Amino acid sequence: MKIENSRINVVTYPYWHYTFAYCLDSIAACGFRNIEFWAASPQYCYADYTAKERENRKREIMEMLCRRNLAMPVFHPEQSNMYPLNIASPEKYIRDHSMQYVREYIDDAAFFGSKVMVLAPGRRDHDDENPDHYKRAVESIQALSEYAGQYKDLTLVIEEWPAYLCAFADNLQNLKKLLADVNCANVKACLNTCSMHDNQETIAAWLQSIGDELALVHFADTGAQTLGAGQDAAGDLAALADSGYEGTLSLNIQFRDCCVAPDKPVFASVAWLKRNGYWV
Amino acid sequence: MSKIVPSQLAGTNMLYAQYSFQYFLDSMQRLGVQNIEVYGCSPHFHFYDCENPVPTLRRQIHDSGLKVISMMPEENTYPVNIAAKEKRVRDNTVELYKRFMDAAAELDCHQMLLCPGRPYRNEPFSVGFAYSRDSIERLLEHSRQTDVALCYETLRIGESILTSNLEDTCRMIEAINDPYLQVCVDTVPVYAAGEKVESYFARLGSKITHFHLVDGAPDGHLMWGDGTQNVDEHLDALRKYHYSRYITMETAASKYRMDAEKYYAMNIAYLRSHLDAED
Repeated sequence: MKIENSRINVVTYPYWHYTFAYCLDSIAACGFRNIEFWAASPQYCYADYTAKERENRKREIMEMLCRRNLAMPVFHPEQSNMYPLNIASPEKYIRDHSMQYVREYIDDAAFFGSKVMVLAPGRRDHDDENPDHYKRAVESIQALSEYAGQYKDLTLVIEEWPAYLCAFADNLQNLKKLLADVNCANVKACLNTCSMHDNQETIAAWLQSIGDELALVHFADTGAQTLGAGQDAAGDLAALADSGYEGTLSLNIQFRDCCVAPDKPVFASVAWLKRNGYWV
Repeated sequence: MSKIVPSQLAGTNMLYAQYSFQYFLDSMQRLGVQNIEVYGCSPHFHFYDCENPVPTLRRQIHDSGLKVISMMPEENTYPVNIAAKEKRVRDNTVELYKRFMDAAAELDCHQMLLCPGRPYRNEPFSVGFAYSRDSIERLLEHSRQTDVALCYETLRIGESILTSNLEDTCRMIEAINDPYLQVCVDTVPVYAAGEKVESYFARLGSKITHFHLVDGAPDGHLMWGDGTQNVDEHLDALRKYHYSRYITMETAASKYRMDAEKYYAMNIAYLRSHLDAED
């Protein structure tokens, strides 16, 4: 089975230090039709606006997308990797405002017409293994699932996290357990091929274990590099194409300092997709 | 040549960000570190975490017996940016940093690290420079009120285009020319830019009031021995210019974060073998 380019998004993270207009111009010029908007300051962030300013900014973003004939099937607001949000925090003050910001982002996802929103499961301190932290993560995700339920087509996805950042979903086994404990139809898995390789997992193992619960794939070459710059992309894309996975995929370039000159790795990755028959 | 001695070393909680702050304080005591640079991050110490986190922090630090020698709010990953084109982002950032300066003063610490901010890379350099300069000048007004100096820190080119080498650093320092605007030299951006610590001291002299001593390959905020930098070259520059202030061990790479104390201990042991004996 082929992977049509209409199913391939590009994560906007490498354009973090550029204006959003520049980001979209560059992405559209490469031939993409879809973006996964990694939302962070100053492009779009919970911390930066009054309510009225936020509504204006959302409309501005939609207009920018429309002008370039782009869509945003995946919304990916920065939460716990760089930002201080933690829906599993034992501190009520932190947990409450984290939940509120994520609820607002769920509303944003619906506004932007996204079908998928990436959700961070929260974290605990390494020196505090009290199981209550995990229970709070599960309860918070369930509450957010219920909130997202008002938007019929919206799915929340959780991906594998590095163990040093999040012990709740640091490998396939723990992510699967988390999803089972949450047990909500609109909360599914995101396969990140780089995390998968870091954990010595395979696409076959993922599909066998997660199956229909897979709703998004983040892919790049070894070390979140430009496609073709590493050893993994060819095998990963071939395995995904053969697997029958019919969902959406996002090119997720995140190598160190990719924000210095993001155009080239994105352009080179599209060229690689074309050369390898994935830009159909 | 003067001496560079172990009592000048300071630890920071950056590598311990996924541990409790109390664990970090206990760890510093176990490792024999006497001075700390408080990295303002959630949930260790940040105004995102409660209305006023200062009393708890002050009590914890007082009980630990450790000395706060520098305040370093997170400035490169959180939604803060003194060089942002968006006025509200700049205003929010300046007000937040003022609160960190107040907190520093309450902890009897008289310096706060200040990074240059991140202008858009596809817009004129001069515009980002002007926004950053305006924010710094507003913060310097607060410096005069609190007696907390700002230590301007150079970044790598991947972090900000505004100040990533000696010339960039001097441009801002000399343009503002305020006694409360000082300099923190960090060996990672210095080495990543292909420069020498000695060049910074030759140009900026006594403006340099803080130092981050970290290995890199060329960057990465690695523990000493894991990178390709020459620690003796850095230390000799400090000796030559009679640097007598504090030196923060800003080890921070993610690969150490699951076992922070182990790697901090290895880093300290390495450094001690290159420092001079106390008098």
